[in-house]
Amino acid sequence: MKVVVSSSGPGLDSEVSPIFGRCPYFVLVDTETNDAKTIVNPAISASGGAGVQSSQMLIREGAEAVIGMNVGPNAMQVFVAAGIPVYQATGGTVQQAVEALRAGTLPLLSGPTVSTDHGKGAAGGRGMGGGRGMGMGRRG
Amino acid sequence: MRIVVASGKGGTGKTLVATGLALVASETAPTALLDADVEAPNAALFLHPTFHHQHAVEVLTPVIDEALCTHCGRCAEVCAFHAIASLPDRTLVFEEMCHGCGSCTLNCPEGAISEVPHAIGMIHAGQAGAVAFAEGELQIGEAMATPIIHGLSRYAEAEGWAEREWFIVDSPPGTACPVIETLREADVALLVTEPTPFGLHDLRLAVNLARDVLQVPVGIVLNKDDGLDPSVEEYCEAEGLPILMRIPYRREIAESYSQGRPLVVALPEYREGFEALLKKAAALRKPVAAASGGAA
Repeated sequence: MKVVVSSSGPGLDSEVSPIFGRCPYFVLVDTETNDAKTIVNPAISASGGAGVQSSQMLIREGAEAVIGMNVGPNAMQVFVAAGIPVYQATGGTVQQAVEALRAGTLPLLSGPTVSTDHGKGAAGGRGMGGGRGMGMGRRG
Repeated sequence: MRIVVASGKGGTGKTLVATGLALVASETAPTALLDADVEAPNAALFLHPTFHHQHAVEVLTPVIDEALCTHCGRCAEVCAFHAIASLPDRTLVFEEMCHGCGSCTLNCPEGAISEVPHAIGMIHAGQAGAVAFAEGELQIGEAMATPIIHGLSRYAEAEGWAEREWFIVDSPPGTACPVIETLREADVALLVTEPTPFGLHDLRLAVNLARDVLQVPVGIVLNKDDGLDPSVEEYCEAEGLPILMRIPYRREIAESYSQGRPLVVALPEYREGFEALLKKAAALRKPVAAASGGAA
């Protein structure tokens, strides 16, 4: 099974990231072979919709299960719709999280653990307030 | 003329100034007031209007026909707001993130997307004494204030309020899209600030937006003026920004405000200040360029 872990860095020895949609990396691990593929998160600086963007990217990458410390409502909704289980890690490395999943000790999340935009500040840079509102044509 | 009361920083006294202006102006000339602070409209708390009209503001959001959808992912790819998740066998729409731009519908190769109205808030309109009054109210959980403000302006224009001698708009705080939506059609912007480092910081942003980006004439109202921090005055002096009114830092003002009593009613000694502010704001207005004839 391919499981994806939200990660602070590349590879199996990085710490699991406390945020999801805007975490810097995802590590996709094959639980049978322990092969790991690092994916740089393209949604890290999204002004909005990072959870939606990153979760569908992971599904298209073939993730069959997800491990994170916190997952927001939009990403959670995408995983639920895709029938992909989301497990909660409490910390440690990506490798340790995958081993805990193998051992069956990671709890399955049934709903989001944080609200929308939780990871905005944590991802670095000023994400707030940008990109809202729609462009309306000038009055003729 | 359209006077937009804005601020940058929240809590500087925009509503205090806008309601004071509207009440004083309406005694001698046709006046309308719009509360465009649609995330927290509260001018009505001071004016106690009687509402006689309301309508919903809607944006068009996509609905996917799963029978036609091939899950190609084009809609999610073109969505600038990541409001669509395209999964291998399902397509999800996150309505509250949709800006209603229609890109997904235009780009769907299967014609599988139709658009349905999604209500994001309300416009309430009525009368408060001699003041024609309307406010926008963004529904809780919705992210887009701008379409509500746009709808509020269009309503007021349809009612002929924009042609009134005094058309006063109470803007939201900040300098993002909702504020731009209120300021871009302003004849004059009154930026309300307070003499603190926070007030100064956000005043600079508001001046940058109103005067420099949108080219709107700007006057400053210095509220909670306790005379202790000269930095806002020094900034205004250096930038050539006129301080049109000073409202002192007084307990009586805060008390009347907390009781929902407009300043000019509770403390009539400030009426003259607002009368003068109207005149000074009108004097700031750009002369209508007869030569260019560009004004629509």
